[in-house]
Amino acid sequence: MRKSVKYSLALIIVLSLAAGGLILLSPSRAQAGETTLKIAQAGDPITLDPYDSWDSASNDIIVNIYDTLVMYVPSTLNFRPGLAVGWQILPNTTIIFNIRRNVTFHNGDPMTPYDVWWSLQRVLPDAKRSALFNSTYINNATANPHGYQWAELVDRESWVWLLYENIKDIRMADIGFWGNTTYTGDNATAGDGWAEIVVEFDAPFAPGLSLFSYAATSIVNWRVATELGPTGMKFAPVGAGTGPFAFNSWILNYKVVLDKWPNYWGQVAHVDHVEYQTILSASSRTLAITTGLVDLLYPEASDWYTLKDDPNIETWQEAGLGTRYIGFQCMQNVTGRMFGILSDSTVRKALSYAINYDEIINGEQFLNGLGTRLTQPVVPAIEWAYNSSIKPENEGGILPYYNLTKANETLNSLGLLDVDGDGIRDIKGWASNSTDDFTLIYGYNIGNALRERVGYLLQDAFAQIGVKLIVQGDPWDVFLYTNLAAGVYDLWFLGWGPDYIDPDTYFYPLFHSSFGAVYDNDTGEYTWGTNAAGVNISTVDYLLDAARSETNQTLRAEMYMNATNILINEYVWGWCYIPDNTYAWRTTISGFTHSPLLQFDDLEYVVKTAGAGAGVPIEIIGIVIGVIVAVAVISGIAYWRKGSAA
Amino acid sequence: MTVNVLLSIRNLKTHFFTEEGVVQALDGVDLEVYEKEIIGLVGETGSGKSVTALSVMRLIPQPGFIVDGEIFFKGKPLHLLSEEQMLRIRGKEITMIFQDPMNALNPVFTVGNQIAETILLHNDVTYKEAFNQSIELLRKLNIPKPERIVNSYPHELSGGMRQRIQIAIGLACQPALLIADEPTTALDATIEVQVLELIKKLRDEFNTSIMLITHDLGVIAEMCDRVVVMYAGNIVEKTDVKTIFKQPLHPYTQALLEAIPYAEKKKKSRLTTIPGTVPNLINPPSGCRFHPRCKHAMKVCKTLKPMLLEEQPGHFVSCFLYSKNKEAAESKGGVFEPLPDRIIY
Amino acid sequence: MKGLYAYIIRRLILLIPVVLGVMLITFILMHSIPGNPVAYLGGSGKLPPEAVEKLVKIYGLDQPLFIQFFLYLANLFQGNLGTSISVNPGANITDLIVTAFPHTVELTIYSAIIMILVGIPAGVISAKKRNSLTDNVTRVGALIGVSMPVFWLGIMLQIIFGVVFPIFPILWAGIHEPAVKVTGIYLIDGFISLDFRTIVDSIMHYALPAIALGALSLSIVTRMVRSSMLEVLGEDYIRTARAKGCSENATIYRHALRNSLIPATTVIGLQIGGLLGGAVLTETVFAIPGIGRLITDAIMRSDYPLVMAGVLFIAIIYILSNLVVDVLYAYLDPRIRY
Ligand SMILES: Nc1ncnc2c1ncn2[C@@H]1O[C@H](COP(=O)(O)OP(=O)(O)OP(=O)(O)O)[C@@H](O)[C@H]1O
Ligand code: SF4
Ligand SMILES: [Mg+2]
Repeated sequence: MRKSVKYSLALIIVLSLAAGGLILLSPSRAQAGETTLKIAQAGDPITLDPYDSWDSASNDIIVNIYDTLVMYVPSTLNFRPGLAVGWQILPNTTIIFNIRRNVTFHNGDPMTPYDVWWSLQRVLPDAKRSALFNSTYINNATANPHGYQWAELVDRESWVWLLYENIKDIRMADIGFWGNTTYTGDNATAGDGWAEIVVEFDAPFAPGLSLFSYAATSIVNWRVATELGPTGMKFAPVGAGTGPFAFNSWILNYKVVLDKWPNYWGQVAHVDHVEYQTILSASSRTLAITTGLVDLLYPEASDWYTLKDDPNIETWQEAGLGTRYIGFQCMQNVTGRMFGILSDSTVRKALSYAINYDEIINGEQFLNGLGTRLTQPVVPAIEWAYNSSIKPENEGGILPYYNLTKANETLNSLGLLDVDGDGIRDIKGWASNSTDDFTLIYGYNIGNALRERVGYLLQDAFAQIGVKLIVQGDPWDVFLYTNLAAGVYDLWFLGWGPDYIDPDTYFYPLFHSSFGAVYDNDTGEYTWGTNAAGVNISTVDYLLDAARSETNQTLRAEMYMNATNILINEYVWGWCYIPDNTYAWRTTISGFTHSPLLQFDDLEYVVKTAGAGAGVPIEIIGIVIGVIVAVAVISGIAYWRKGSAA
Repeated sequence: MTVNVLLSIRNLKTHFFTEEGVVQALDGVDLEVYEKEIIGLVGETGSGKSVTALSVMRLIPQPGFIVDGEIFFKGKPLHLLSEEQMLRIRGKEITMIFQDPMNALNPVFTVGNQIAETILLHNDVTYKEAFNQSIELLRKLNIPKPERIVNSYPHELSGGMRQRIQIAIGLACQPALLIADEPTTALDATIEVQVLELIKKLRDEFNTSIMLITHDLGVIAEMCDRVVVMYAGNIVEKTDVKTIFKQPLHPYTQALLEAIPYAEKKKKSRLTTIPGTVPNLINPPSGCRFHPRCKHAMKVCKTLKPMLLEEQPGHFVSCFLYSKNKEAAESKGGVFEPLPDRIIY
Repeated sequence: MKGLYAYIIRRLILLIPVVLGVMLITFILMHSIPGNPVAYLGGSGKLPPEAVEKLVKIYGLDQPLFIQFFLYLANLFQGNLGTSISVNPGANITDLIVTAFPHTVELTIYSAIIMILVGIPAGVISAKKRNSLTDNVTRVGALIGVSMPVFWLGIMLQIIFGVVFPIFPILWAGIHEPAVKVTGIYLIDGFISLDFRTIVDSIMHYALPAIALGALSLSIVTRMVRSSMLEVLGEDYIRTARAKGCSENATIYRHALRNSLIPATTVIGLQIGGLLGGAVLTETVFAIPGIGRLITDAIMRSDYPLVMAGVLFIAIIYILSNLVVDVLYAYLDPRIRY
């Protein structure tokens, strides 16, 4: 008995020391000094090939692997030179980019104007690609030995090419040093002057410059791309970019790892690696940042206040780039229901007073404080076109606020009275002596709980002003492409996100009459247009067209503000809210720039200091596990022997 | 023949504390087993034969307890021994074999393994030696092809063979007492004869005392030296085998024997033909537990409990019909009139 | 033994019609619930209708259903499981499954260890000390284990052992990647390359998910072992063993355990089969990129080829684990012969 106790003790000590010692000697300890910035993502990226990316998870990675010609000054929406050291915007629909020299791709290849040209050509819709690109590089067996066909226009999973439809041509030129020559990949590196890329639009397009800040126009290494092909570029674009971080590995559904690129042309990254972890469960993501497993994430709305209160976590909240609105059907002739009553701007004004904006933004059932009141088509982040003097009436401005008395008064003034005394106004005073109840239909896409709740909030408020509201949910495609286009709803909830960073994207598609639903005489069907409200105001059309071709930013700003005033006084929308951008990061990292674009950009500026006492040291764990195993083994044996003895 | 008492049981009371109530399965059993004898325990089902045997083994299943009484084996008080000491007696000094050969052997071990296990448990030998000893043992028991049998699993053997294996397990350590609880009930007639022969041979070869529990009076007649008749947790009659058949005293024993047609007495015959049912042992009948079914029942039988007294030399009976109990009852004021509502058959 | 081999082969042949049936049913079910994988591409409805139409054509989703099914089978027999449409668009499905499965296997290994090393002894002790305090505690524990939602338990474990007492990492994500990946099962890879950091990290990272996942199976096994143990303890051969002079422990561990494991084997085997089929909730809560999460994701996004491949895979795993149970059965119970 004595003896076996001694043996047991010896075994425990030996096993635990062995475990601890072997951990100390483990090869992996060597890299302990490196810093890794860990980011939690809610989903796996779709693709790491910029030209075909559309989702946020992919974008967050792509912006760090690749650079674009035009980039943003960190934490603002002001342009700064990227892979183009400068540009010239000519009034005659042309932009000329001067391409940066001495930039190397992650595999050591120097970046040439040729790569730029190739990358931009690839993004273009099929019909707009130059014949040279197709014949020399796509259909040429030497240049494209594997015969990869970069997806044609509509084969792509992304919609980004739509943005480049009004580009007429993209070509290389040597306006400065090289003279007009046609370049091959080889002689492009030989020169030593500026090389230029010329972009020509079909029609004057002032916001054109911002198109070249978009991740889709990232510059890729054409040799690498031609070697890897679509699948390789999608899943493992090794050496394809020039960005501050180089692609290291992607374990599907788990994580993407990037390494610092020491030869970056700009600020060389402080952290050695960036790791994007896919953590599907929202509560797990929150736990991950509170316990320090990850450093940075987009916080979950439901956990926002928890994170805000956590002393180890820093949070950031500001109005984002998206807009959310309640659209009114302004076109009288679309359905003819209710005699097109909403085509009257005073009616729309009355209804605008019956929207409880404050509840939607601050109510716990709704945004819970994570939004900002939308006051005009454009968001405050686009400072130069934003009119900050527009405010709700109760804050001293001109915008409707939630005031049922005013709503009632306005409707009364129109003669829309409750004739038959059933508590609902009748539209007798409106047209044809009809005693029809004033009934409206609110549409939303099924599955969007917030929009559904907004519907019932409106229903309650409208009931108090004698308007009957039917809340109708439909599947997304029916909602958007069928019912909204055909004018089934009188009002609806919808959001908008910018396609590029320019006021144009907030105005033109939404308020220009050419973007309204299109009626096909043959089929008798409507095709959906982004201007679903059917706004058709000639002055607005004129201003928007003019602003598109004007290159003077001050003049443009004036035009947009004029358009804004008209739209507000026409009450074309219920101006609801701007969802806030939120970020949360641990205080162990600094230098995070919280881009207004809501993307994990500029990670090269992030510094990570090792957190104090991050968990139990691995040696101790090893020893503990060793002891547990040894004790378990010994007691198991002892118990067994006791059991089968006798 | 010197008469040495091997096992003696005094006033044994074993009760089961079930949820429905206390089952008084044994209510004061007195019994002794002499060396080298075969003693038969007979009685209807539920009369407490198995419980008596299990009490001796100290293997009463939950929720049963020995609540009173003494058991002496070779002078050792079994009822006082610790569980650890009991381990050394079970299987070595006293062994027990059971009725159902289907289930009495562990289906997942070979029979050789199971015999060897007993040897291993009580002797300082290696497994290999124990295994060889078990082959020897089977050979001694005249079991054909013992080398093959030891490597078979129980389900591969016939019922008779399994029962012989059980006997082999029981005898592996040459115990002083073998308790056989209805060893042949499940076997057909020819096999039964062989197995009984085997048991008898054992007594002669190994000098083992055997407590044979059975329903079968024919078996008793053939095998036993003495007989104990049990009824509802009591011993009602105890005497040698000749006397019990010739001159049964207790009305229960008489009814048992009468119930069997003479021609069948020597054959397999079951004790199932007495009118009435076995009493409920949670609320047993007062006085003599047999009185609701006894055709001689008297008023005293309902009020007083008869004792097992030696009415004739070597012949113990527990019934008020006989002098010693009668005297004892009279002194206590028992009334000797027939019970008005007694069963007449 | 020969009978056993013939039996195994017979069962393996039987696998073909079963798998075909499973495929057909899955195919019909998948296509009868609303949803279109292409709808998930391009982000909230921004993909123009023409593009959707073209993609539908590319993936053959416009073909009649039975043609789609036979095309699928034809590809399947060429060993081509196709590519994912909406979960990891363009990714090779075989690769997806091959990378996901080892994690599920590893999780299952740990859960099974817990299930067997805790469940069986707990069941045995509970049966042995029937109606005692230990027994009652075990029984209540098992009841709780059976009725507790896995994701809730997972989150509780994360909070208790990851936040309040920071012993274990709360997520699988962040596990140390072994330098040598032979099997994809990090514990085994760690031993192969003698990288103890990997071994320890594997144990630490799988601890909580394995407990969360194992709790249910553990409870089921405990209850099963307890009841079959009680049944076996009432058997005659247990009395025989006691009558031989076997001690209580010898009786229970030598004579009763193996017999009571016979019915428990079925349960354990099926549980393991079930665990291998993927522990969706656990994998989601602890961010383990395993097979369950992959397939649920595929179902959510109507990724037809990935769902089909996943279901095929799980069906095969399940049938095989059943087969293993049957073989084990024959080993444990000599009465069974095939
Ligand atoms: N585990 C138990 N729990 C409760 N009561 C029991 C238990 N075992 C036996 N008894 C009771 O003890 C009494 C005697 O049973 P026992 O098994 O000794 O009868 P037996 O004479 O051996 O009958 P048989 O001929 O059927 O074997 C029965 O009435 C039975 O109700
Ligand atoms: S004591 Fe009375 S009841 Fe009992 S057997 Fe004798 S006569 Fe019958
Ligand atoms: Mg019995």
